[in-house]
Amino acid sequence: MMTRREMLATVAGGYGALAAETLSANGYNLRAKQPHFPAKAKRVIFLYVGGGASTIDMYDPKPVLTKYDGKPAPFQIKGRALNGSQQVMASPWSFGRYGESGRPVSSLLPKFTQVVDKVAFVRSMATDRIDHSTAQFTFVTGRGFSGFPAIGSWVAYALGSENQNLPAYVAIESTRCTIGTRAYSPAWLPPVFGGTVMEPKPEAPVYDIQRPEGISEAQQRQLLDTVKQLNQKQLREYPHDPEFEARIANYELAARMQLEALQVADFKQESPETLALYGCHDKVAGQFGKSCLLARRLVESGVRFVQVITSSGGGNGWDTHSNIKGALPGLCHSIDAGMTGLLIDLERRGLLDDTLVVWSSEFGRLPTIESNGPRPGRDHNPYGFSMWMAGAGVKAGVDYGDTDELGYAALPEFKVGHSDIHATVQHLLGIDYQRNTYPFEGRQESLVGVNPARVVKEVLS
Amino acid sequence: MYRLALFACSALVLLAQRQPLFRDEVQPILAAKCVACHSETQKMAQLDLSSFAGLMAGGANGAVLVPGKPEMSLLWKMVESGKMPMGAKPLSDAEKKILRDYIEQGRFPKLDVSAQEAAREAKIITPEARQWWSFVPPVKSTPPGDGHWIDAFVKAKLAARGWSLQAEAPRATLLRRLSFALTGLAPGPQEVESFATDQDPEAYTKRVDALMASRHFGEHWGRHWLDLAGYSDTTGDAGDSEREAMYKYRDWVVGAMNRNMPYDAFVRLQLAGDQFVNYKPGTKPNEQEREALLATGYIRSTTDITDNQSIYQVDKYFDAIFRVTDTTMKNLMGLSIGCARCHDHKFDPILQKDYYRLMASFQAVYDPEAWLAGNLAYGPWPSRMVLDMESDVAAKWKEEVSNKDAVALRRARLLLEATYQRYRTALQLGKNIDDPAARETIRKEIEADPDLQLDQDDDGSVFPNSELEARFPELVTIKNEINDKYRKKKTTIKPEYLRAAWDVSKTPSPTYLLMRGDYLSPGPEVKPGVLAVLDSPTSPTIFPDSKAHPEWNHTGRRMALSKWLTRADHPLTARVWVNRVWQYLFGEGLVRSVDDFGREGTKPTHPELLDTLAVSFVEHGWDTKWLIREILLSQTWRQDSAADPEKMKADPENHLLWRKPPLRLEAETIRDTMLQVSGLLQMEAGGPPVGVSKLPDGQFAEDPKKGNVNRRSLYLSYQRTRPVGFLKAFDCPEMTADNQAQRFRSTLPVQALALLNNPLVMRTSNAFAQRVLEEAKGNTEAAVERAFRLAYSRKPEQREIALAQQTIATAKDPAAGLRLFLQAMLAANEFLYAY
Repeated sequence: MMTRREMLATVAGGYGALAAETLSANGYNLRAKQPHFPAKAKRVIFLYVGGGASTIDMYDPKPVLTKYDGKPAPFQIKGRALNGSQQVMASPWSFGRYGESGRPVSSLLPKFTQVVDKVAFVRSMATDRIDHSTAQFTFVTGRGFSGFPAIGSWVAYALGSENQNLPAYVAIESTRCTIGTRAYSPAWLPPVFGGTVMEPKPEAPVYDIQRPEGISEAQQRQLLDTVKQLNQKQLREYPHDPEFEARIANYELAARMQLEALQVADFKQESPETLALYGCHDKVAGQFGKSCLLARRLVESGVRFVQVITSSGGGNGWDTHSNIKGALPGLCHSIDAGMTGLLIDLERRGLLDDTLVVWSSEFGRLPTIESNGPRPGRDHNPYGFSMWMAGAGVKAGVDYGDTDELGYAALPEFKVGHSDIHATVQHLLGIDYQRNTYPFEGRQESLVGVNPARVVKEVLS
Repeated sequence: MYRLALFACSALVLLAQRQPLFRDEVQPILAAKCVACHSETQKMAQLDLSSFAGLMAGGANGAVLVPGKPEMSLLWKMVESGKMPMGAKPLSDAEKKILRDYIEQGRFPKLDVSAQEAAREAKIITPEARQWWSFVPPVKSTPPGDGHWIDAFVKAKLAARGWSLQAEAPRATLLRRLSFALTGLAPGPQEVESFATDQDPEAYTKRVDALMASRHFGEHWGRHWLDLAGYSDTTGDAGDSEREAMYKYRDWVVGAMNRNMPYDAFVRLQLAGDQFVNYKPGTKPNEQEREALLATGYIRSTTDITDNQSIYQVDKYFDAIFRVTDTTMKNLMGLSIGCARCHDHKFDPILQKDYYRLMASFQAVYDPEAWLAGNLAYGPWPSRMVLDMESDVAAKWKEEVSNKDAVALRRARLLLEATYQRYRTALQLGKNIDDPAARETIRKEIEADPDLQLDQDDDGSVFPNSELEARFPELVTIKNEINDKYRKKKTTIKPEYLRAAWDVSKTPSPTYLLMRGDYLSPGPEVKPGVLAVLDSPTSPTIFPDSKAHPEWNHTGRRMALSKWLTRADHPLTARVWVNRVWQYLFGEGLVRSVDDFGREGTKPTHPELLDTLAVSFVEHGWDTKWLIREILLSQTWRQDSAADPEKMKADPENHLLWRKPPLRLEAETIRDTMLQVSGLLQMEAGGPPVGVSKLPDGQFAEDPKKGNVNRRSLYLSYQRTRPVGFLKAFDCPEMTADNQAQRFRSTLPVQALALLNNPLVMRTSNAFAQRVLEEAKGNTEAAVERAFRLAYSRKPEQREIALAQQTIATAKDPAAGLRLFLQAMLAANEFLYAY
């Protein structure tokens, strides 16, 4: 019996000299394209924490909070509730200083302490959206509403893919976020630039990738061959329509994708040490860990942009309005191994040099408690929060910006918005964020649009 | 420049200390403390503090508010000193602070319009600007030659290059092409046979007429319109909640297409049906009113992300009204006016003021100061629904669903459902929740969550509710409590409702020109009107004053707008629609940029033809079926699709219409035809959509537990974030960008994967094999021939018979082999295209 590879070689051989490629409407394709200028990063892993991570309890200790703990804040704090509590809550967790940079990490992220030197923090993030859906739209599309392409689509549109057998843009939903599929939607960009959903499930990592039950490999091979034979008629009758050839080539591509996607989702070749590094077997951290490992395997295979989405962990959501003390440890535990392992693993494989890793949430959480009661939580805080980047072109170990003494609002002179991050990510990929445009409704639209945006050069090497 | 992007930059400046919002923060204070005396009716000191307009108008003592200067504002002085509210509890410190901040930091309308403004406008709306080709009413031309008049225009252009139309396509190809174009279904083998041998010179015309009379015509052409309307069975809010009863609008569109409703009436009813029948909100609609109201579902089909959050909705309100304005103008006039939301249009002569003039027509439906809730879980009932019940029954039902018990019941059920979900998530994540305290924590959290949302994608099959109940007894207890407590109070009335638009009041909140599109920066007030460049410079269109029509239950604005849009001499409306019809038939319009007839768009390839089509269409009473029939009877449509190498090289985009290009079928047509040839297709028309569920591999698909999965795709549930996987693969839009005028026709490997592995293909190819075997009485060769006639409308060639035999022989079981061969047929290019 033929191996899968042999079979593919046979099938592919029949398609003639036509370069197999994906054709979208109007001739858009995924061929690798030259960036506007030399790129530091070739690919991106974007860790999307949906729900509003409490970064003041994770990376940004504010000692002053202890002074006001349980007391009213020295200035007015605005949350969503009109008469929200003004009562400050110090972080219930202790912070230590780690790495050569000596930067603080809370006891919630014991593993992350190992890699804190590899990242650059932006500690003065701010967004103009205070509820999840609009803030998450802003987070990945730059606009507070549905209907705009996600960052990964813009990157795929600009740069194409280095591997035609896999999508250029993959979304891994460790758990689904508030805005669902719109977190990786191409909106009005051609569909070929949309995020393809993959799961760290070796048997069915992508929709329709697995042969249907009861269909043997030989039968599928026969199927492909018969389709090819049937398609000869159009090749004869429409020899000058490239679309028919492209569609035939797509079967070859699909067969390769089937092979490659199944391979990439199969962790058998990973050592036990690597699996442990990502926390793959941990009940709480496993799902996110496996998603991060899949992300590494995908970028290793040439996928341009991988977005790992999580919105809950340890049985709780990141939207910790209440019981933050009970919930946040599990949440942090759920991502600690995955994100830490990812950075370590990328580095030791030499991938961190040209892979950019971005970690962010749509907004942070307030230094005050949301409501009185035995299990207080923290309300949404769009005014000041932290994100980090690591890898290609990022100055490891630096911090940029700060919030006020309570960790409430970004200091105005340092304020960074999601559009600035979008500009920075594109810049690192060699994309001029103002030139990466697509005609829509009579305008040349871009990811940042008319938002004021700048490359946050302070964190770049 | 676009949309709320600019809103974003202005808001960024104010991030740390966001100024209070009038509607959400200031107005409630005024309503609680001031309006008892200072209202529209009880206007003490001639001051009305119930609205923004009233606040700004001031009272007997002049202005009460000086923007930016609390100390100089009477309102603040009276409140701060405690003189007001007179004889009542003073404002709390927090309330005072909000008021003060608002006066200090809020943005207020610039009420004076300078003379420079008019001069600036005159520079944009120049006589030359009015002469842009699409702004000048179309003029009919005499066809430059013999034969079918459409062909004459096309042939003249071809002749200039020494070309001519190609020969007519073979009969089977032609009938197949026609059938797909008119009904989205393949012709049956007998129809192909009878057409092939029909000697009647009218044979073709008769087929055109018969197919146009089929009710499947409306299903296929209705779908085209639904793309423009951005039809979806979900709302597009955070959880993408279901849009109950929306399907009635879908059915209305299908019916209107089948009845061949004149296009002008079709447009007028969708924009203003409620106003044309003078529907009185809150009453049971009679038959004529129901029809008109259903049409206005168009206005309700816009994405609406207002959700169940208690505040911070104003930006979302504006998003909905912006979208309905943009999408409608794009659909009907082929103009992208979105730029003018923030500033005068850079390319087209569209003033920023024009934008708000047009938007004002929708202000009474989507009134940011009197928002109607988009769903039951939020805001007052009955929100967007028109209750189609006798008024006493409707009142009783409203009472039953909106009383405290009903609200509490909804909340209790939501909490219970969320409890199942969170327990399930915890278990899936391997969390130990055997300790009752751990579970109590979960329940407490749910209770405390102000914007609790159910996970719409919750996979109940992993730890089913029954299993959870067995493990965690409190679930049963809670469930029983709910049942006991509310059993007697449950509503007994079955609601009948429809989703429609109507004016919330005859005096909606004022429409302001929003500086840089920012609703926090209102500029001068703008009255409803039309585009200046298309309006008469000497006698501009003036919308009727509803106050002069005491008999009206509405503002009359949308009615006036729709009448203006459907004037016989409107330069754009007919042109844009005939161009869309052309695009649906040929894949591309005569104007390729179907949504942009402005300067950034493309010019028509055949301007005289486009204009003559437009004028004749209006002369024929805006008769869409007439228009389609005229095009289908032309040789331009009937010509062969094969590519001539010389022409292909010279004009690969077919600008000159030297052929009828082969077109990949739309997603729905591919699915429907698979069901059709396999004999599974159920022709049941209309009604609630067939629900979708997640398959084990994560994609969504029609669910046999939620309806008949063999219905036409049009009747599946269209969900913005849960698209049916097979349809999505073939470019069926998700309507996340509000609407989509032109389908993509992409060629992607996911399509190949879907055709190889999707359950739909397995299901249909199985049934297909059974069907042809049965019809061929078990004779495989006859079965293959039958399959070719069904799926390809022709006999198999010798070569193909051999291929079939060879394929079948590879399987142990001939039936399985036949199925495999038939799957290949469904996956091959011949099946996927109309040639």
